[in-house]
Amino acid sequence: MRKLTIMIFSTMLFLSSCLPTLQLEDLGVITSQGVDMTEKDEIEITMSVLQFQANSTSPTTIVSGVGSTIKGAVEDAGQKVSQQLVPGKLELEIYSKEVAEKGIQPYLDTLRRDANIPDTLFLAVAEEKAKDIFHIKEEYISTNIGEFLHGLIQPGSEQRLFPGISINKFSTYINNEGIDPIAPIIGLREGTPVITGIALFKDDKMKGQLPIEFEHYFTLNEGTVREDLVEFELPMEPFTEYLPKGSGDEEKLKIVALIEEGNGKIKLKDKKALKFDTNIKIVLNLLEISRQYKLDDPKAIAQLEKEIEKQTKSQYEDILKYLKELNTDIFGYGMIYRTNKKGGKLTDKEWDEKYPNIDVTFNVKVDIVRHGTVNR
Amino acid sequence: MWNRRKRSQSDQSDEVIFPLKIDELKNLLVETFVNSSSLNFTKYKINNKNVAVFFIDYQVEGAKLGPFLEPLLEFDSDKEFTYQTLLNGLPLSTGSTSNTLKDIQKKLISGEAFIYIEKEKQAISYPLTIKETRSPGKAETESLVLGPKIAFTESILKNMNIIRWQINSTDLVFEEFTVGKQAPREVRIAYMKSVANEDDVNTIRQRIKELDVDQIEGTIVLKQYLEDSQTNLFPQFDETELPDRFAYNVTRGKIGVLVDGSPTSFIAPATLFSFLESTEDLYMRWQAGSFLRILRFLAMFFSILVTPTYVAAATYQYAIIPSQLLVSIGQSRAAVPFPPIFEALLLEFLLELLREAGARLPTKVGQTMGIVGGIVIGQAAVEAGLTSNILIIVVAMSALSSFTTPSYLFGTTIRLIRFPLIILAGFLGLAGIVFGVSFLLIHLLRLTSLGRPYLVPIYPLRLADFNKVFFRTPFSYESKRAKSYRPKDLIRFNKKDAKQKRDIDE
Amino acid sequence: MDINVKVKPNLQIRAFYLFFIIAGIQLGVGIIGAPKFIFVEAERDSWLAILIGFLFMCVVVGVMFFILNQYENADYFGIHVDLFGKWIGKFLGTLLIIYLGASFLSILMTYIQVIQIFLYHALPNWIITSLIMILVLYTVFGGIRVVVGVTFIFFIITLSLLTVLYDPLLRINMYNYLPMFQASFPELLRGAKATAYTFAGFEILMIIYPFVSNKRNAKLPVYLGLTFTTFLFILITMLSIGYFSAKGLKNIDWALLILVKSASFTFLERLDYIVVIVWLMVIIPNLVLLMWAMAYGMKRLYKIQQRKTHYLFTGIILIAVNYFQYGHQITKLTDFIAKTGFWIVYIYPLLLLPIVLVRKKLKSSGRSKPS
Repeated sequence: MRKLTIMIFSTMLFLSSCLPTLQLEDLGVITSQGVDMTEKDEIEITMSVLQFQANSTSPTTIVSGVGSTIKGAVEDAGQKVSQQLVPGKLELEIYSKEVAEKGIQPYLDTLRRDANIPDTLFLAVAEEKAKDIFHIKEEYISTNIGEFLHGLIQPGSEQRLFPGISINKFSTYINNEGIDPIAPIIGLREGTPVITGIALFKDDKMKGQLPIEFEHYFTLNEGTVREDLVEFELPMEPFTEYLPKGSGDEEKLKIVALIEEGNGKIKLKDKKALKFDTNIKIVLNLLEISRQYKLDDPKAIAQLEKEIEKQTKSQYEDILKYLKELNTDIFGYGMIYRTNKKGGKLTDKEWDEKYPNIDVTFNVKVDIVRHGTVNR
Repeated sequence: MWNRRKRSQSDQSDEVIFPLKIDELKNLLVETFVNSSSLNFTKYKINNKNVAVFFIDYQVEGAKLGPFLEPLLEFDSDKEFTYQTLLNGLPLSTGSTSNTLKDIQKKLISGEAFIYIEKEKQAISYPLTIKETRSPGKAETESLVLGPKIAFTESILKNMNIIRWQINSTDLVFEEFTVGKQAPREVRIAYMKSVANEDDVNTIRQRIKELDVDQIEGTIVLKQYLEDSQTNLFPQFDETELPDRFAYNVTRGKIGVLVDGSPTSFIAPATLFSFLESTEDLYMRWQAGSFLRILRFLAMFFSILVTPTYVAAATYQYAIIPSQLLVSIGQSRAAVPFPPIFEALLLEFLLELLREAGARLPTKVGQTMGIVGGIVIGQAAVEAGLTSNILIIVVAMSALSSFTTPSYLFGTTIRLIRFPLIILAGFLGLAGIVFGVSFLLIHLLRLTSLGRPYLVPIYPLRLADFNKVFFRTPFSYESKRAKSYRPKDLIRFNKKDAKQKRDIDE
Repeated sequence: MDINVKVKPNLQIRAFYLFFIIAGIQLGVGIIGAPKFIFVEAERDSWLAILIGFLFMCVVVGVMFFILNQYENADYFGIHVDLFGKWIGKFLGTLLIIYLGASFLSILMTYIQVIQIFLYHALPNWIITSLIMILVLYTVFGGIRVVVGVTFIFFIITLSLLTVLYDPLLRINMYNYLPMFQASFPELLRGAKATAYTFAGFEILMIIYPFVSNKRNAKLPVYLGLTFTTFLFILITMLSIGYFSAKGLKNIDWALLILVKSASFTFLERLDYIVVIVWLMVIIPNLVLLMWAMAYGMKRLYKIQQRKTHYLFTGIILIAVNYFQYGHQITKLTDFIAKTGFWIVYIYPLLLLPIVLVRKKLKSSGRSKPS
């Protein structure tokens, strides 16, 4: 027993000189960072850093550094602050459009190699330069910039769908032959950062983009969507018989609804002919309608459902056409194809050739289950 | 030389000294009680014989002297006047005779009054002892909301009396022992003949008999002498001042020990978990009882772990703190000039000071002390930048948790364990905590109490005992005693009868 | 040296604890990295490979039980001497002890590597080792009762780590499992062989068996222990396959730890740190059982005091760990242990079986002749 005590104490003595400490007040905790390219093809990193000072109102500062590697750039930035910069709480990394188009694989590699960087890190693409997003005036937003951006990206905690694209998910998709990743695009609107669009990647390179309004078409395909608002603009003609007379003469019927539950499933119909079925099921709760409408009539509801189905279907077809042009398989048809192939192996090249030739039928099924407390 | 003298002296006191003349006896006694003037030595002449009555003033109850002296002085002169006739003649029941000096001395100091008739072979003595005791009061160290409030007193007779009334059974045994060579004390072990494990009783008997000390200061000291490992931080027997807790444990097959002159008792064997049990759990509804027990458990872990975790997180693993909390902890840390380990030790030290001061001071002052210390000093320390306010909350919570332990001794142990853990956390971070906790666990596994494992019923695993230790079930499910202590008789009552249900509307 | 062991009743353990001993010694550092090695061989059908490994293991354990039951109360050391005579028997016993010592070192080094990668980059090997050795020595000095107790309690505590797996479970991609049943039989067998390092450890049964008090009930807990390990192993491998992409998993060394990297509770983040550190409590049972087995073996073979072996071995370990400074050295050591382990743990009992049978026959005929 005494021997043990002596051993413990002697070990402790040695330890105190061995272990470098990371005391909280000596740290600059990076919460989010943006990656840009300078004209000289160097990497510029802009970081929002938590610095702890007594009685300061805003704990965040923006630091930037330039270097030929990411770690080099962070090092460079570190010399501009008194604290040691640590990445253990990195929550968001934003790439400028330029960087994203060149390919972000090298940056991902650094992030994944370091065991200190959490896997909950989210990725995003900036509309233009990433550093612009960090250099906004703080009065436009209620909290500090790092937290604000993270809040923008973070979906509900149990929903693991777009726009919360974590680094793990992204790199899994890159490594997966039959599916390509997406990421949110963050831009500035009146000085405030917002999500403006969806960046479409082909492997690690950004190929194109779609406006954020198309979000649901992707999330529905990704998994089960719950409690999400959607807007539809439908042509007026099919509804004329269910509209009370003389209540307006707009050209479009606008509807806002809440997706109670929605999901999509892809099925391979014909392996040779590359025929796929995408079955989308949406259960809606009607929240807002721009005209008075006979909601107590089952036929009227059925008509509404039918029109929404029709519109969704044509939207999906347009999106797929665009994706085929870019040759990026966001919906993951390749993955389905692979699982049905013997041996379960598929190379990137093989699918690149096959993808433009796939034939997809979208079957959309919409159910309006609730329409609030009033009927008209 | 010294040895021989000592022996000759003791030889002398062991010798039969009678018959003697009264004056010779007086000289002999005054010689032994040199410098103590309280020896009351009176000569009487009764029936033409010289009679001496002697006792020590303060050990004898004055009121009892009357009924003792009166019959003596009015002794019938027709009868033969010897010690035998006197012994029969006096209307007191507990008379005894003695004829050696040692015996007389011993009896004198324990409060007996002697009569010696000149030239007789024996002296007669009667215990007229006066023993100052306090009447049983309210429990001070272990307080209960529900349940009996009476606590043990310093008198072993009163204590045994209280227990007898709690366990009114012929099965209950109070075995008597005397411990201490120089100043002996009465020690009693109490157990249920038909329930308590024979081995355990034998072990404790043997340990008490083999104890070779000059004197013991009380129950808790005796407890430390009897424990399996005296060098250990953990108490291995459970101490209590509550007769109901004592009685509960004894009826469940444990062994209780009482010491004369000490207002606490201890119970053996104990486990780590028995220190977290309170009889109050039994008085509550079973849901509330279970809740309180689990609460105390969590409090123990919390109390041990929370400050070290703060130190580890603030020194090494900042990343485990959630982001929102990180800002507030970081900002409050920024004003503090010390490393977290020093900060934490300082505050824990301050808190221990407050607690100790509160315990030493008179009750009324003590209360003010707590308020002054808690609020004023804490506030001032934060403002002066000595500690961060988050740490104040952390330390206060951990202190509060440590006070929930029903056993005061065990609570102290928990508070002590914190310090090495804080130091480990300060040097090694989270790994230090896990190292420390592992070490503690291994240590606990190695511990025994009266030869029984300390962590029973977890190891060795006895699932059937979980409802007596970790939570409580309705009494109808507690038909058996804890198997962990291997009682002679496991069954408390018939389970079938307890569970018998009537049909509806019967 | 006695072939059969006389064990004092106060040192005996209940058969029930064999479950924890078997599961405790099997779950160690192996399972952190194992998904990769199996996936490389058997791809999506790794679970089948693990099941094959499990079946093979069950056969081996069955053979072990059969051999043990031929004797009154013997262990590996006694059986060796009985079968091969004093010299060869002792030599084989020594080889076994060396193997146990090497696997001790390999477990320790792998864990040290994990700690250094995830948490303390600058902490030298010997410091981590001395800390761990303090715990190990403190346990083994308590004797078998404490060794089994530590195995049991640490096992129960570390089971709570499984809750962390909720997060990867919610993030898995079901398509990664399809199509099933594509691996060829040789691939599956190679996958099964890759489980050898993770599953190894149950040879402790052949050493600890004499200490079991109720031997008649010993089989069930042992098989349940094996089943539990297999279940956990399949769970973690399948989670890794679902969570990572096929290309990714082949490059991930510590799949289990990366799996939990995205898990967090509201009051605690970065659960991977917690898992890495609490994993100490997973490997301690491994180490103490091996340490105990070694010292006990030395006592059986050469009548050396257990205490002395403990001190000696601790000294050797403290020196040896400083040699391993690079990742590839540790990989080499682990590979070596995995390879030799396959022969010692899995194949050797099967080779022993015919010898035991022949000897039994000889004995019985030899006995029947004079009568």
